[in-house]
Amino acid sequence: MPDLQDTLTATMSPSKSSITLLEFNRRISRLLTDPGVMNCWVVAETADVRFKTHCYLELLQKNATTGATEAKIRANIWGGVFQHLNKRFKDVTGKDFGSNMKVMVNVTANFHAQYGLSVVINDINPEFTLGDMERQRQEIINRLTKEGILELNKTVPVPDVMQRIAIISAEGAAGYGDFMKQLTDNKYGVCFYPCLFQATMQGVNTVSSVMSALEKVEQSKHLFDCVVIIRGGGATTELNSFDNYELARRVATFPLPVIVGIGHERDITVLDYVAGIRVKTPTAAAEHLILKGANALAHISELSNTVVTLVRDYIARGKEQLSYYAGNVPILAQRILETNALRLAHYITNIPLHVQRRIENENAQLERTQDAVKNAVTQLMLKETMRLSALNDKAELLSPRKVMERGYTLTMCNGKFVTNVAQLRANDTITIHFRDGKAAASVHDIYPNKKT
Amino acid sequence: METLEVNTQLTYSEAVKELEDIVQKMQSPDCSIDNLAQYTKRSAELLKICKDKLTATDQEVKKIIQQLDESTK
Repeated sequence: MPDLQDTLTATMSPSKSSITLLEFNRRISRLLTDPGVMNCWVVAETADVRFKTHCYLELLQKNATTGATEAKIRANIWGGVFQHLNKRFKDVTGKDFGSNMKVMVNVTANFHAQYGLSVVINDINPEFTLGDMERQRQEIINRLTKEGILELNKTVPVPDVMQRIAIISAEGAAGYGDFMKQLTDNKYGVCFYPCLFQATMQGVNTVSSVMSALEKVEQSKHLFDCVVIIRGGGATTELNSFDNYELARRVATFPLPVIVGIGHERDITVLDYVAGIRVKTPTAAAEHLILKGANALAHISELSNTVVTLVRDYIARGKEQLSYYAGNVPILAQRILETNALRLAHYITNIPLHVQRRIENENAQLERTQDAVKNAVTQLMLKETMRLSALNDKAELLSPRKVMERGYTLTMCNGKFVTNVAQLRANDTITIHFRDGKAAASVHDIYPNKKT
Repeated sequence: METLEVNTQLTYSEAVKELEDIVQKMQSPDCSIDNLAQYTKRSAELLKICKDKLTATDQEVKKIIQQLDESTK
């Protein structure tokens, strides 16, 4: 029976000769001296470009139709080289060397025993400026512009204060935590009502997940003032999900104002173009909301001050007016008394004069009336005298005596005056009266006048 | 509860609008001193409504949003 210790030793000892991992990695590293992977011009897209002493980034190759990443490698440019290359790059393209650029770079493969495979960029051909990602984004933007909806969400009315906030984010994400902390701790004491709509913010499911969250928010849109889509930093390559036509269209046509804070300062996605309000980070999104609340508070405080000032002014003016009257009323009263005294004196002087003049006028009028009455009486007397005398003359003329003087006689029969022959019969005795006497006569014949 | 009652009657925007209108009326040369007390009283009410809207928690809104928040997690 073999010794137990021997058995164990035999099991643990390598049966074939082995090497350490470090040695193995060194071997890989030595393989990379092949000229095929040294000073080689490569066309790729940049992503997640960072500068910290040296420039670190990722080089990508994506499928032209599906957009899926087909190749990816870490890369770096040494600090001194980068300063020089970036200057030249900027001179040609007008932009700093950064993420989402299609580039032609001269690379050498490098395998670090501890950090693994990467490439060192020796040179950049700045003629390659716009990368595929940029072009795709531009295409989406062009399409949305053509459809007239690129700026649509910017026209959605934004409330003065947005307190009821639908958040689309991942609960565990650092960006979400920062956002919530910022809102809750705001120094102005503005009250917020945040509601998280969970969504995956990275990876292939991002678009469908965010779309579904937007759908849920829309179902309760009456409960919210705005939607905030946030995620913290992360690798830039992950942001590509947000350069999606369907998602951009959904955000652009969303009925509530959409605030997007999904990246770092160096990353701009299509969502940033279509969002009603674009901020750089979740923290900035919270700051924006807090600022609106703070502005509203300031506005209220200003209105409050205005009201107080106005009321004070009114009261002060009222007092001023009162004191003016208090000072002026006695003077006015005095003036009114004086004016009235003057008027009274005027009356005292003028009333006797008026009376005198009036009496004189009345006397004159009386005299004129007396004269008129006298004249009228005289006239009337004269007229009546004349009429009487005329009547007298007429009476005189018509008296029987006067008539008889002119030869007329008066005939009487049986004591009655005879005025027509029909009163007489033959043989009647009649008495004829003359001016100076009478004669008895007898009627022989009667000859009445023929009737005509 | 009083805050809640006031809050359900007017939105912040409506309250601010009314407040601004009153201030404008008070600034107008036609404003009679007889209306001043009424304007001042209403201004104070509106200022309180606005301030409460911004800084005091509306229990009803809080409850609804919280329920929704829990249901979406």
